[in-house]
Amino acid sequence: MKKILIVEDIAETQKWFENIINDTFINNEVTIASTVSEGINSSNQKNFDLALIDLGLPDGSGLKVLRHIKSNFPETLCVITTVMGDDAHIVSALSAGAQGYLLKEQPAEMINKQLIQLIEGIPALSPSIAQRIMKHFRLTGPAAEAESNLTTREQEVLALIGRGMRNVDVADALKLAETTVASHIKSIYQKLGISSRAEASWHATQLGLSTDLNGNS
Amino acid sequence: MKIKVTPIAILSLSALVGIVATVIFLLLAIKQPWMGLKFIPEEKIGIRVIQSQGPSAAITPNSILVKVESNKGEIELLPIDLTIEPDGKLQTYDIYNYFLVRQGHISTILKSETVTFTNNKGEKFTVKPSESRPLLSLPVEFWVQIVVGLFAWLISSAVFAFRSRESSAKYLLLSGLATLTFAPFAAIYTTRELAMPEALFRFLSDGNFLGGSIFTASFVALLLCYPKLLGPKWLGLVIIFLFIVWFILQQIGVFTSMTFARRFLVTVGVLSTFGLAAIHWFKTKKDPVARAALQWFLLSWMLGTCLFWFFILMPQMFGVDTTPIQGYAFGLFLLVYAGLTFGILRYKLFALDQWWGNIVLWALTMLILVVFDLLFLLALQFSAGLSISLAFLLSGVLWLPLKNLVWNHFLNRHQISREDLFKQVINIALTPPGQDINIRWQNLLKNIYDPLNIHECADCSDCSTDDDGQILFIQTIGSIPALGLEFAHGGQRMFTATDVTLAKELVVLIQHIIDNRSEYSKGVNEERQRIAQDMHDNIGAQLLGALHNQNTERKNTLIRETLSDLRSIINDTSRTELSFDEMLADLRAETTERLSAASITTSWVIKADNAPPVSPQSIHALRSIIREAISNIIKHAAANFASINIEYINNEISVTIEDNGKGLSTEKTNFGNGLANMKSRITGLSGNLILLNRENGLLLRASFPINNNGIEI
Repeated sequence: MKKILIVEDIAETQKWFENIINDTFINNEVTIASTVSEGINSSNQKNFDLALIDLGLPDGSGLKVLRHIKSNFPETLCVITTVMGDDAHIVSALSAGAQGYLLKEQPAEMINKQLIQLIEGIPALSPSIAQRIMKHFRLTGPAAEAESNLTTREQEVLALIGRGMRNVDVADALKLAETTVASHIKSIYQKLGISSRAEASWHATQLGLSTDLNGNS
Repeated sequence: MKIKVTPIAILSLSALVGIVATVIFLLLAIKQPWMGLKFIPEEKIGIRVIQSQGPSAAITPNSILVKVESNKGEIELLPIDLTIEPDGKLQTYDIYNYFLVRQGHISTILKSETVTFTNNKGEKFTVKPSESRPLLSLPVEFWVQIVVGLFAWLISSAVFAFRSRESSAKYLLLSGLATLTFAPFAAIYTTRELAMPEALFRFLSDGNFLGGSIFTASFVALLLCYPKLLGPKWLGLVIIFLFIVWFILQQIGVFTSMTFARRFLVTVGVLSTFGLAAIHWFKTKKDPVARAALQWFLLSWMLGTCLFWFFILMPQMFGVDTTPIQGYAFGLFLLVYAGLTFGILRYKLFALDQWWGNIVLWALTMLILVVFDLLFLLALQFSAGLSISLAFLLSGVLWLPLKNLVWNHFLNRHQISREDLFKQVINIALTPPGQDINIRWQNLLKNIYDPLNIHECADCSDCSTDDDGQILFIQTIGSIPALGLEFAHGGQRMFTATDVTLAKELVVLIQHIIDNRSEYSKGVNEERQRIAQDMHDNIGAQLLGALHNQNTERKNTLIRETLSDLRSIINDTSRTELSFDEMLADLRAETTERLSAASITTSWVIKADNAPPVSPQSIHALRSIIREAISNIIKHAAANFASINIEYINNEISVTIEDNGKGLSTEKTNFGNGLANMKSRITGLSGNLILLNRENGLLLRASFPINNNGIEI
C-alpha cells in the first residue's frame, strides 16, 4: 500500500491528480493538503512514500513543504508539480532535494508514465531544465570537492537533453543503456544539490536558485 | 592677491571687537572717583542730594550742596553741572565750553583723598571718595545703552559677515559701528555721578554726536541702495561724507547754536529716510513679497528712529529738556535691529534666511560659553572656601558636558568617508520613482560641504565657485536643477578648487549612472513589450481558438499548448544566448514523445547553426506549424515514420515535415482549420506554405524570411 501526499490548492487539479494516482497505483492512501501549513501538518502525521508538491500555494511556496519533508522524512520521494513555475524555480526545487518534477499541463497518460518512472528511480529532465542546469554548473565553475563536479559523460547527457533528445535518444547517441542515462541524470540531480549548497550560493542567487522561501511559482 | 576672509572669522572678530569695546566702556565708567551720591539740580544755585551711601553716608539727603573743595581747589556747584546731555540742553557752543571747563574743574577737585562739600546752610561734609565706582552702582539706563550698542554691532556685523561684498551690508555695518560708539559713549557721560575730566567728556560727547550723525547717514545711504538701488552708487558715500564735513564744521566753531548744529542735519537725514522709504514702498507696489519684506525693514526703522527723534530730539530743538529719559529711549534702537533680524528670518532681507539665524545663534552661544567660562572660573574662586565639591559636581555633571556638546556640534562636523560617499551617490542615481532625487542630492552636498545654505539657481553646465569662494555652483544634472551652495563648512572656510573638482567628479558619476540606468530601464521596457506582444499574438489567439472549438479533445490540446507556450514565454526561449536548436529543444522533446507514443519513428534534423536570433513570433509560428502537422500525422496519416527538417538558408527559415502515410484525404477534418491557421501565421511572416500530397505520404513545407539584423518585432 502506498501512502501518497498531494499538496495542491486547486480543487479540480487535486481530483485530477487523485484519479491519475488511482490509475497508476493500486491500493493507495491519498492525503490531500491545499496550503503550505496543511502540507507540513499532514507530512508530520504519516511516513509518506510519495509527495506531489505544488510550488505556488496560497500561503507561500511549496519549497517550504519540500524542505520540511526532506529534513524530517528523507525517505519520502518528493516530486514538484507545477504549471507556470519558471525553470529557475524548478531547478531551485531540485537542488533543495526534489527527486523530480511534473508539468501539470501534460496529458494524464504522460503524467502517469512519468510517475511510474519516478517510482522506479528514473527522473525526468526536460530540455529547458537541462539547459538551466548546464548554465548553473558553468557559472559555479569547478568545485573544490571533485565529487560535486559533473563528469564529461554527465555533461554530454545534459547537452543532448538540452537539445531536445529523450533519454532513449541520448542512450542511442552515446551508445549507452537507457538505465545508464537515467543514473547519470540522478547523479546530476545529486550534484546540483551539493553544488548549490556549497560555494555556489552567489550564482544560485543569480539563477533564481536562492533559498527563496516565499518564492512565487 | 585678494585675501579671503571667512564669515566665521568676521563674526568672531566682530564679537571680539564688541567685547573689547564693551570692557573699555565699562572701565571708563567705573574708573572715576565715587562718593555714592545722587543729585537733582536746584532752581538757581546748588544741587540737591537725593541719595547718599558708601563714602558719603554722612551727608543727609535733601541737603542742597553749593560748594565743593579739596587740596586741589574749590568751586561753587551750579545746576548746569548736572546737565545730562549737553547736545540737547546747552544751546550754544559757548555754554557747552563753559560747562566742560567746569566739569574738568570739579573732576580735578574730586580726585583727592578727602573732599569737602558745603551746603546752603554753611555746614561742611567731608567725604573720602573711592577710587572707582562699583559696577552695581551704574544705573539701568547705562546698561540699556551698552546693550543697544553691542546688539546693533553684532547684528549688523553678522549680516556683513555673509554679505561682505554688498554696499547695503557695508552701510549696515557702518550703522552698527556708529551705534556701538554713540550709545555707550552717551551711557558713560550721561550716567556720571557728578563730573568727568574735560577732555574725556568732550571726546565722549563729540563722539556721541559723530556716531549719531554717521548712524543717520548710513541709514540714508542704505536706503539709497537697498532694497533697490535708487540713485548713483557714489551717492551714499557722498552723504556720509557730508555728515562728516558737517561734524568738522561744528567742531571748528562755524556754528554758534549747538542745538541747531547738532540737531538740524540729523533731522534732515531722518526726514529723508521717510522720503526714501516712500519711494521704495511705491516701487514694490506690484511685488507683494518684496513689499512684505520692506514693510518689516521700514517699520522697524521708522518705529525705532522716529520715536526717538519725535520724543527726544525734536522737543530739544524747541527747548524742551528730554535728556533725563534719553538713556532709556536708546532702547528704541534695539527695535531697529530686532526688526531687521526678524525681517531676515521671515522675509529673507539681504537675501539671508533662517540659516543665518541658526549660525548667529550658534555664534552667540559660543560667545556666551566663553563669558560663562570666565564667570565659572570666578565663581570657583569665590566658592573655594564654601563648597569645592559642589563646584566640581556642577562642572563635571553639567557645565563641561554642555560645553562639549555645543562646541562639538559647532566645530567638529563629521567628514564623510569614501565608502559612504559612493553609497550615497549610487542611492541618488538610483532613486526609486516617487522619491525625491533632489532632496537626496542636496543631502549629499550638505554632508560633503556642510554649506550654510543651498538654493536653486539658473541652469549651468559646469561646476565653479564665485571669485571669493563664498558660493559653489553645482551644474544641472538631467532633471536636477543647478544649485548654489553658500559658505562652506558652516561658514568656517571658503570653497576651493578641490571642492570644485570633487563636485565635478560627483556630477560625472551620477550622470553616468543615471544614463546607464535609463538604458537598463529601456531594456526592461523592451522586455515587457516583448512579453505583452507574445501574450497578445500567441496566448490570446490560442485561447480564443480553444474557446470557439467544439471538439473537447482539440480544446484540451489547444489549452495544453497555450500553457506550454506560456511557460516558454516566462522562461524566455528567445534568450539570445541560446542556439536555434536549443530554442526548439522542448518542441523536439514534445514532438518525439508524441510520435513515439503513436509508434511513429522520428527523425529531427536542424541545420541552422549560423542562424541569427529569431523573433518570438517566428519560433511560435514554427512551433504551431510543427504541432499541427504532427497532430495530423498522428490522427490521419497512418504513418510509421515522420521526419522534421529545419534549415536556415539565404536568410530564410524553412521547415519540411514529411511522413510515409496515406496522404491528405479528401474528407473534411480538423486539418482544414489547422491549415488555415498555419497559412495565416506564415502570411503574417511574409512566408510561403507548400503542401505536397504524394503517393507515399504528405510533404509540408513552410518557409519565411528572417531579418539578418536581428530580432524583428
